[in-house]
Amino acid sequence: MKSDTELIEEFQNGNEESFNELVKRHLPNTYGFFIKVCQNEMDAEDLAQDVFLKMHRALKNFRFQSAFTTYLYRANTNMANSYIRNKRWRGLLNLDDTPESGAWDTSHETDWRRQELWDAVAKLPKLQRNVVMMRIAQELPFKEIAAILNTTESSAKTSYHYAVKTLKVWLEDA
Amino acid sequence: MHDFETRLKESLNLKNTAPDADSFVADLHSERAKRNSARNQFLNGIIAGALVVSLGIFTASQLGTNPAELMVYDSFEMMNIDDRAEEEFLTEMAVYYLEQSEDMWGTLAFLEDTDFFTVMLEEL
Repeated sequence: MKSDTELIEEFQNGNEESFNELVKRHLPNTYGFFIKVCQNEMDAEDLAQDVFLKMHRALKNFRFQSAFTTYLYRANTNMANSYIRNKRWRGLLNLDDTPESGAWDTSHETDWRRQELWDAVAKLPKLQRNVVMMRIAQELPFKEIAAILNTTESSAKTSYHYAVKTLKVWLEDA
Repeated sequence: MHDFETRLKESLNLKNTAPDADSFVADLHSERAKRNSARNQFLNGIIAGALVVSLGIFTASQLGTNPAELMVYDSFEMMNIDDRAEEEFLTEMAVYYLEQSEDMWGTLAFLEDTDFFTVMLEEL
Protein backbone atom coordinates (compact mmCIF):
# COMPACT_ATOMS: atom_id res chain seq x y z
CA MET A 1 0.00 0.00 0.00
CA LYS A 2 1.31 3.44 -0.93
CA SER A 3 2.14 5.92 1.82
CA ASP A 4 0.42 9.30 2.12
CA THR A 5 3.63 10.97 0.95
CA GLU A 6 3.76 8.83 -2.19
CA LEU A 7 0.12 9.55 -2.97
CA ILE A 8 0.65 13.29 -2.51
CA GLU A 9 3.72 13.23 -4.76
CA GLU A 10 1.74 11.42 -7.44
CA PHE A 11 -1.09 13.93 -7.07
CA GLN A 12 1.39 16.78 -7.41
CA ASN A 13 2.52 15.16 -10.66
CA GLY A 14 -1.04 15.30 -11.96
CA ASN A 15 -2.49 11.95 -10.86
CA GLU A 16 -5.99 12.84 -9.65
CA GLU A 17 -6.67 9.22 -8.71
CA SER A 18 -3.99 9.43 -5.99
CA PHE A 19 -5.90 12.27 -4.38
CA ASN A 20 -9.08 10.19 -4.48
CA GLU A 21 -7.20 7.37 -2.77
CA LEU A 22 -6.01 9.77 -0.07
CA VAL A 23 -9.57 11.01 0.49
CA LYS A 24 -10.92 7.46 0.78
CA ARG A 25 -8.17 6.56 3.26
CA HIS A 26 -8.80 9.50 5.59
CA LEU A 27 -12.56 9.92 5.14
CA PRO A 28 -13.67 7.64 8.03
CA ASN A 29 -11.43 9.41 10.54
CA THR A 30 -12.28 12.91 9.32
CA TYR A 31 -16.01 12.21 9.12
CA GLY A 32 -15.87 10.47 12.53
CA PHE A 33 -14.34 13.60 14.05
CA PHE A 34 -16.92 15.93 12.53
CA ILE A 35 -19.90 13.77 13.44
CA LYS A 36 -18.80 14.03 17.06
CA VAL A 37 -18.47 17.80 16.84
CA CYS A 38 -21.59 18.48 14.74
CA GLN A 39 -23.96 15.77 15.96
CA ASN A 40 -25.46 15.97 12.51
CA GLU A 41 -24.64 13.70 9.57
CA MET A 42 -25.30 16.32 6.92
CA ASP A 43 -23.13 18.99 8.58
CA ALA A 44 -20.38 16.44 9.22
CA GLU A 45 -20.35 15.44 5.57
CA ASP A 46 -20.31 19.09 4.46
CA LEU A 47 -17.39 19.90 6.76
CA ALA A 48 -15.47 16.83 5.61
CA GLN A 49 -16.10 17.89 2.01
CA ASP A 50 -14.85 21.42 2.75
CA VAL A 51 -11.70 20.08 4.36
CA PHE A 52 -10.89 17.85 1.38
CA LEU A 53 -11.65 20.67 -1.06
CA LYS A 54 -9.08 22.78 0.81
CA MET A 55 -6.68 19.85 0.72
CA HIS A 56 -7.12 19.56 -3.04
CA ARG A 57 -5.92 23.16 -3.43
CA ALA A 58 -3.28 23.09 -0.72
CA LEU A 59 -1.64 19.76 -1.51
CA LYS A 60 -0.44 21.03 -4.87
CA ASN A 61 2.09 23.11 -2.90
CA PHE A 62 2.56 20.75 0.06
CA ARG A 63 6.22 20.86 1.16
CA PHE A 64 6.26 17.73 3.38
CA GLN A 65 7.53 19.72 6.37
CA SER A 66 5.08 17.80 8.56
CA ALA A 67 3.16 14.57 8.19
CA PHE A 68 -0.01 14.75 6.11
CA THR A 69 -2.09 13.61 9.09
CA THR A 70 -0.76 16.54 11.18
CA TYR A 71 -1.79 18.87 8.38
CA LEU A 72 -5.19 17.19 8.05
CA TYR A 73 -5.92 17.24 11.80
CA ARG A 74 -5.00 20.93 11.93
CA ALA A 75 -7.40 21.61 9.06
CA ASN A 76 -10.10 19.55 10.79
CA THR A 77 -9.64 21.45 14.04
CA ASN A 78 -9.75 24.84 12.30
CA MET A 79 -12.89 23.79 10.44
CA ALA A 80 -14.51 22.54 13.66
CA ASN A 81 -13.61 25.81 15.41
CA SER A 82 -15.23 27.84 12.70
CA TYR A 83 -18.31 25.56 12.81
CA ILE A 84 -18.58 25.94 16.60
CA ARG A 85 -18.19 29.73 16.31
CA ASN A 86 -20.91 29.92 13.64
CA LYS A 87 -23.15 27.66 15.67
CA ARG A 88 -22.75 29.88 18.73
CA TRP A 89 -23.77 32.91 16.69
CA ARG A 90 -26.67 31.04 15.16
CA GLY A 91 -27.69 29.93 18.64
CA LEU A 92 -27.57 33.52 19.89
CA LEU A 93 -29.69 34.61 16.94
CA ASN A 94 -32.03 31.60 17.31
CA LEU A 95 -31.34 30.50 13.74
CA ASP A 96 -30.66 26.84 14.50
CA ASP A 97 -33.08 24.01 13.97
CA THR A 98 -33.41 21.21 16.47
CA PRO A 99 -30.43 18.87 15.99
CA GLU A 100 -31.06 15.57 14.29
CA SER A 101 -31.10 12.63 16.64
CA GLY A 102 -30.74 9.88 14.03
CA ALA A 103 -26.94 9.89 14.11
CA TRP A 104 -26.66 8.97 17.76
CA ASP A 105 -26.25 5.75 19.58
CA THR A 106 -29.33 5.95 21.76
CA SER A 107 -28.48 2.73 23.56
CA HIS A 108 -25.70 4.58 25.38
CA GLU A 109 -27.31 6.70 28.07
CA THR A 110 -25.28 9.63 29.32
CA ASP A 111 -25.75 12.02 32.21
CA TRP A 112 -25.75 15.07 30.00
CA ARG A 113 -26.77 15.64 26.45
CA ARG A 114 -24.07 15.83 23.82
CA GLN A 115 -25.39 19.23 22.83
CA GLU A 116 -24.65 20.47 26.34
CA LEU A 117 -21.15 19.04 26.16
CA TRP A 118 -20.33 20.81 22.88
CA ASP A 119 -21.95 24.00 24.07
CA ALA A 120 -19.60 23.86 27.04
CA VAL A 121 -16.59 23.00 24.85
CA ALA A 122 -17.43 25.97 22.64
CA LYS A 123 -17.11 28.28 25.64
CA LEU A 124 -13.56 27.15 26.46
CA PRO A 125 -10.57 29.31 25.49
CA LYS A 126 -9.29 28.45 21.99
CA LEU A 127 -6.21 26.41 22.97
CA GLN A 128 -8.13 24.40 25.56
CA ARG A 129 -10.99 23.87 23.09
CA ASN A 130 -8.61 22.62 20.40
CA VAL A 131 -6.85 20.24 22.78
CA VAL A 132 -10.17 18.86 24.05
CA MET A 133 -11.48 18.35 20.51
CA MET A 134 -8.37 16.48 19.47
CA ARG A 135 -8.10 14.47 22.66
CA ILE A 136 -11.75 13.54 23.05
CA ALA A 137 -13.10 13.55 19.52
CA GLN A 138 -10.00 12.37 17.67
CA GLU A 139 -8.30 10.53 20.54
CA LEU A 140 -4.86 11.80 19.58
CA PRO A 141 -1.80 11.48 21.84
CA PHE A 142 -0.57 14.72 23.46
CA LYS A 143 2.65 14.60 21.44
CA GLU A 144 0.70 14.75 18.19
CA ILE A 145 -1.70 17.38 19.55
CA ALA A 146 1.31 19.54 20.48
CA ALA A 147 2.74 19.16 16.95
CA ILE A 148 -0.58 20.08 15.33
CA LEU A 149 -1.06 23.14 17.52
CA ASN A 150 2.59 24.23 17.36
CA THR A 151 2.96 24.06 21.11
CA THR A 152 4.79 21.91 23.65
CA GLU A 153 3.51 18.60 24.94
CA SER A 154 3.40 19.92 28.51
CA SER A 155 1.40 22.96 27.39
CA ALA A 156 -1.09 20.67 25.64
CA LYS A 157 -1.39 18.52 28.76
CA THR A 158 -1.88 21.55 31.02
CA SER A 159 -4.51 23.02 28.70
CA TYR A 160 -6.32 19.69 28.63
CA HIS A 161 -6.20 19.40 32.39
CA TYR A 162 -7.69 22.89 32.87
CA ALA A 163 -10.28 22.31 30.16
CA VAL A 164 -11.52 19.05 31.67
CA LYS A 165 -11.61 20.64 35.13
CA THR A 166 -13.69 23.55 33.78
CA LEU A 167 -16.02 21.24 31.87
CA LYS A 168 -16.51 19.12 34.99
CA VAL A 169 -17.63 22.19 36.92
CA TRP A 170 -19.90 23.46 34.15
CA LEU A 171 -21.51 20.13 33.28
CA GLU A 172 -21.91 18.72 36.75
CA ASP A 173 -23.27 21.96 38.14
CA ALA A 174 -25.76 22.30 35.30
CA MET B 1 -11.02 13.29 37.00
CA HIS B 2 -10.40 10.09 35.03
CA ASP B 3 -13.99 9.00 35.53
CA PHE B 4 -15.13 12.30 34.18
CA GLU B 5 -12.87 11.94 31.11
CA THR B 6 -14.20 8.45 30.51
CA ARG B 7 -17.73 9.80 30.68
CA LEU B 8 -16.83 12.55 28.24
CA LYS B 9 -15.47 10.02 25.77
CA GLU B 10 -18.41 7.69 26.29
CA SER B 11 -20.81 10.52 25.66
CA LEU B 12 -19.30 10.77 22.20
CA ASN B 13 -19.29 7.05 21.58
CA LEU B 14 -21.31 7.05 18.41
CA LYS B 15 -22.40 4.41 16.04
CA ASN B 16 -21.79 6.35 12.90
CA THR B 17 -21.13 5.06 9.47
CA ALA B 18 -18.97 7.16 7.22
CA PRO B 19 -20.60 8.00 3.88
CA ASP B 20 -19.88 5.77 0.91
CA ALA B 21 -16.32 6.69 -0.14
CA ASP B 22 -16.92 6.47 -3.90
CA SER B 23 -20.01 8.69 -3.87
CA PHE B 24 -18.26 11.08 -1.46
CA VAL B 25 -15.34 11.45 -3.88
CA ALA B 26 -17.73 11.93 -6.81
CA ASP B 27 -19.65 14.61 -4.89
CA LEU B 28 -16.36 16.23 -3.88
CA HIS B 29 -15.22 16.62 -7.48
CA SER B 30 -18.61 17.84 -8.67
CA GLU B 31 -18.62 20.45 -5.88
CA ARG B 32 -15.06 21.42 -6.81
CA ALA B 33 -16.06 21.89 -10.45
CA LYS B 34 -19.08 23.96 -9.36
CA ARG B 35 -16.94 26.21 -7.14
CA ASN B 36 -14.29 26.60 -9.86
CA SER B 37 -16.96 27.61 -12.34
CA ALA B 38 -18.46 30.11 -9.86
CA ARG B 39 -14.98 31.52 -9.17
CA ASN B 40 -14.27 31.86 -12.90
CA GLN B 41 -17.60 33.60 -13.45
CA PHE B 42 -16.82 35.98 -10.62
CA LEU B 43 -13.35 36.71 -12.02
CA ASN B 44 -14.77 37.26 -15.52
CA GLY B 45 -17.32 39.65 -14.03
CA ILE B 46 -14.56 41.57 -12.26
CA ILE B 47 -12.45 41.74 -15.44
CA ALA B 48 -15.44 42.87 -17.55
CA GLY B 49 -16.32 45.50 -14.93
CA ALA B 50 -12.74 46.76 -14.82
CA LEU B 51 -12.69 46.95 -18.63
CA VAL B 52 -15.94 48.95 -18.75
CA VAL B 53 -14.71 51.31 -16.03
CA SER B 54 -11.32 51.87 -17.70
CA LEU B 55 -13.02 52.41 -21.08
CA GLY B 56 -15.39 54.89 -19.43
CA ILE B 57 -12.50 56.75 -17.81
CA PHE B 58 -10.60 56.80 -21.12
CA THR B 59 -13.66 58.13 -23.00
CA ALA B 60 -14.35 60.76 -20.36
CA SER B 61 -10.73 61.88 -20.51
CA GLN B 62 -11.11 62.52 -24.27
CA LEU B 63 -14.08 64.86 -23.82
CA GLY B 64 -13.71 68.63 -23.49
CA THR B 65 -14.22 69.86 -19.99
CA ASN B 66 -15.36 73.39 -20.90
CA PRO B 67 -19.19 73.56 -20.53
CA ALA B 68 -19.43 76.37 -23.16
CA GLU B 69 -17.86 74.11 -25.79
CA LEU B 70 -20.34 71.38 -25.00
CA MET B 71 -23.22 73.87 -25.38
CA VAL B 72 -21.91 74.98 -28.80
CA TYR B 73 -21.70 71.40 -30.01
CA ASP B 74 -25.26 70.79 -28.80
CA SER B 75 -26.55 73.97 -30.50
CA PHE B 76 -24.99 72.99 -33.85
CA GLU B 77 -26.58 69.60 -33.54
CA MET B 78 -30.01 71.16 -32.89
CA MET B 79 -29.64 73.58 -35.82
CA ASN B 80 -28.83 70.74 -38.20
CA ILE B 81 -31.87 68.83 -37.10
CA ASP B 82 -34.07 71.95 -37.54
CA ASP B 83 -32.70 72.60 -41.04
CA ARG B 84 -33.33 69.10 -42.22
CA ALA B 85 -36.89 69.12 -40.89
CA GLU B 86 -37.66 72.48 -42.55
CA GLU B 87 -36.21 71.37 -45.87
CA GLU B 88 -38.29 68.20 -45.87
CA PHE B 89 -41.40 70.14 -44.93
CA LEU B 90 -40.99 72.64 -47.78
CA THR B 91 -40.28 69.95 -50.33
CA GLU B 92 -43.30 67.93 -49.26
CA MET B 93 -45.50 71.02 -49.35
CA ALA B 94 -44.35 71.87 -52.86
CA VAL B 95 -44.95 68.34 -54.10
CA TYR B 96 -48.39 68.40 -52.49
CA TYR B 97 -49.34 71.65 -54.22
CA LEU B 98 -48.14 70.32 -57.57
CA GLU B 99 -50.09 67.06 -57.20
CA GLN B 100 -53.28 68.66 -56.00
CA SER B 101 -53.45 71.58 -58.37
CA GLU B 102 -55.18 71.31 -61.75
CA ASP B 103 -52.87 73.91 -63.23
CA MET B 104 -49.29 72.69 -62.78
CA TRP B 105 -47.76 75.70 -64.54
CA GLY B 106 -49.82 78.09 -62.43
CA THR B 107 -48.61 76.32 -59.27
CA LEU B 108 -45.00 76.50 -60.42
CA ALA B 109 -45.48 80.21 -61.04
CA PHE B 110 -46.93 80.54 -57.53
CA LEU B 111 -43.96 78.74 -56.01
CA GLU B 112 -41.63 80.97 -57.95
CA ASP B 113 -43.46 84.00 -56.65
CA THR B 114 -42.99 82.78 -53.07
CA ASP B 115 -39.22 82.40 -53.71
CA PHE B 116 -39.47 78.68 -53.03
CA PHE B 117 -36.78 77.71 -55.50
CA THR B 118 -34.45 80.43 -54.24
CA VAL B 119 -34.79 79.14 -50.67
CA MET B 120 -34.22 75.53 -51.76
CA LEU B 121 -31.15 76.45 -53.78
CA GLU B 122 -29.77 78.37 -50.82
CA GLU B 123 -30.36 75.33 -48.67
CA LEU B 124 -28.46 73.14 -51.12
